Amino acid sequence: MSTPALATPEARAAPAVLVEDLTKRYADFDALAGLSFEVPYGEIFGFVGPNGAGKTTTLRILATLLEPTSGRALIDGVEVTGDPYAARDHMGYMPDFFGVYDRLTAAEYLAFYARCYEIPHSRIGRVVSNLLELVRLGDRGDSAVDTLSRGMKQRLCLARALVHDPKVLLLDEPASGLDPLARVELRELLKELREMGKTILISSHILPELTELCTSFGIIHGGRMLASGPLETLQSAVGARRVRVRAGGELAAVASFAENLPDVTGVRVEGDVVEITHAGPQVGSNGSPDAGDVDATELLLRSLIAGGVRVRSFTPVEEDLETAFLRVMGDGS
Amino acid sequence: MGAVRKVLRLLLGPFVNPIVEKELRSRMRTSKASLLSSFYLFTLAGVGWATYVIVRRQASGGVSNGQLSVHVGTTIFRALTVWELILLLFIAPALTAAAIAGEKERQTLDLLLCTRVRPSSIVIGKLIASLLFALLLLAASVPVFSVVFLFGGVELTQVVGVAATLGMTAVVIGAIGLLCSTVMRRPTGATVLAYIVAFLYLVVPVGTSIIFPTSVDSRTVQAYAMIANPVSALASTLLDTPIRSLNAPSRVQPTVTNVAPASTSVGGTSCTVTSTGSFCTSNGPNVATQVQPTPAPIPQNDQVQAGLFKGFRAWQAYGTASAILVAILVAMSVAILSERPVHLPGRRRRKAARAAPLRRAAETEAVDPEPGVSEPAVSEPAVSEPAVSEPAAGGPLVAEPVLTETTAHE
Repeated sequence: MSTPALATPEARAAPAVLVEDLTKRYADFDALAGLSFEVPYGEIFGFVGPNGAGKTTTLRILATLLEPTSGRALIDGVEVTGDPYAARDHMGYMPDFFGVYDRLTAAEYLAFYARCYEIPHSRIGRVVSNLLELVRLGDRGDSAVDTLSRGMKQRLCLARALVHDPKVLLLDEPASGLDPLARVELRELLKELREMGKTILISSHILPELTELCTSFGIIHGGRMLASGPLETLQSAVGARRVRVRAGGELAAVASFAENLPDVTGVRVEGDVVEITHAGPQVGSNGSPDAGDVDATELLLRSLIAGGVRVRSFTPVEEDLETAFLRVMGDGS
Repeated sequence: MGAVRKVLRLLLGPFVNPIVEKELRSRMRTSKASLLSSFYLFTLAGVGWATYVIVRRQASGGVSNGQLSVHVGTTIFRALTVWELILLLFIAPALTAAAIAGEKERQTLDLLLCTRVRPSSIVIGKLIASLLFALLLLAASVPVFSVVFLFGGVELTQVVGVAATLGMTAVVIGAIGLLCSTVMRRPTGATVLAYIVAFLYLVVPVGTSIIFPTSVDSRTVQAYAMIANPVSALASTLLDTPIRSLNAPSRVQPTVTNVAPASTSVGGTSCTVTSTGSFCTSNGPNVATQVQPTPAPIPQNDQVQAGLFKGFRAWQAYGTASAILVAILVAMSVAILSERPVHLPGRRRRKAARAAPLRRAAETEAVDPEPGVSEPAVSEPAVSEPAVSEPAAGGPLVAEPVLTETTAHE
């Protein structure tokens, strides 16, 4: 499914998804207020934000179901507003609901959409069986769709989005309402799809669902992109680190000493623990972001000991993205 | 085999779109379909049989067998036609009213709309699929109708006229239901609206012609409304029966009116009236105004006397007018369906979004479009430069938190 436009190196260099200054205004509020981001080919991009941040609106605009108020969006080099029918060939959209028909079997369901995507009759049978195999429903092809479990329906819908072999997949909250096992299956499936060369955009309001799945993230809030990039970039962009310190002696003295250290932004005494918040250095252009992070924490420990604090334990608080995310949200609103 | 398929596809191409196929498949899998057609045939047969019994009993004396036979035949034919019309009127709106609203409720409409299927294919596919089912019902009723030929008194052209009128009625009502289906969000609402509109479509022209009979002129809007009305079209096709009857062209006419009084006086007359229903009484004047101008001394056939459809048989005029009407209804449905933005799932949010203060609305996932209201807000597209300026050759995007700006909401 290669279009002539893609053959040119220029088009190849373009990202799989490009969103530029997208706005969407509803009657009384802006769902999107100048959203810009891009997703390079081959990424699994986690699109994270609280409910109402504009995730679904963005995905629906990308899926050509919604007209943006201004701005532009390109999928695989095709402008979604300019030529929706062409754009539809390049992306598969899976909304945050199943959208299945009862009284059809899984195979018929897929065949129906294959026909809707104008796949030649002669190929439909093969496409359907391949897809069922791919989403591990090979033995359920003749089951009525409404007898399938949630996880199976989810995978069937994923197969539906893949019927026309699109380059880009738009998945809106795919993991919501799935049990852990189904979630693992979904994750495996998405990895497989990535290996097949698909670019995948997943939205979720629950970050842990995505941390293991995605190669890069975008955090959206109030219709804007707050931060985007790989996990590490995000963490350092988000900035602060916390360390919990237990020490002998007067805790208040330790606290006041720590407050005067460079880079320390906050100190809190909590029972017998002093919690120190410090701003880790921003990611350098040379080294890996991890190295920079460790260095900052190291530095703090060194200066504490050098200052005569009797450190008994020194525990950096593993701040996962969700915590950072929540804090960013808190700052944002 | 392959060649046969190719020929079939060439012939049926426009009718076999994926929507039709899927609709037929899932419709025929329900027990509803078979129950409905059984009910349809049983009641139809019941009406035919009851008519026969009643007519036989009330017309037993003083009529020759040939006359009686013709009388029975025409009466059964009328009764069956009226009953079939009533059934169709009840079934046809329901066939299509759920078609698109159901997709909305099941949230599959969006999925369809982001495939290559055009909105027009969706609308036409849904219409064809439900009409094929109506056609199936009509075809299934043919054996019941064939009983009429045992008695005679009905011409083949009349049967054709009635069948065409009934078929076209199903199409028009189907198209009405479909338009309601595209307008409404829920199948129930769409069905209710479809019944209301179908009722108005049937009753308003008839009603106005009864209330304002003098204004009827075949050039007036009202006259055209009557031409496009299945009740009047059927009436003029049916009441034409005796005139062009095969057996006795000139003598049957008196038979119908005379048989009844000849038998059991008053009861006979009312019999004829009941079997052909409210039909004769309510529509007599309309038919007269439309098809048989009152002064006409010699009974004429059911040709339209003047206007655009002059010279058409009633059912031909009706068919043509209906085809135009259907085209308009389908075009409207397609236009509505093509209009983006399509609604989002989860309607409840809309009200919340409107009522709650802005920030709250934004946080309760109130990403609900106000269809039609959203005007292209020309903010300042020219001023803002392309924000994503570094292609970075596949590298990660540099994060630039714009935390402070998000307070713009408050």
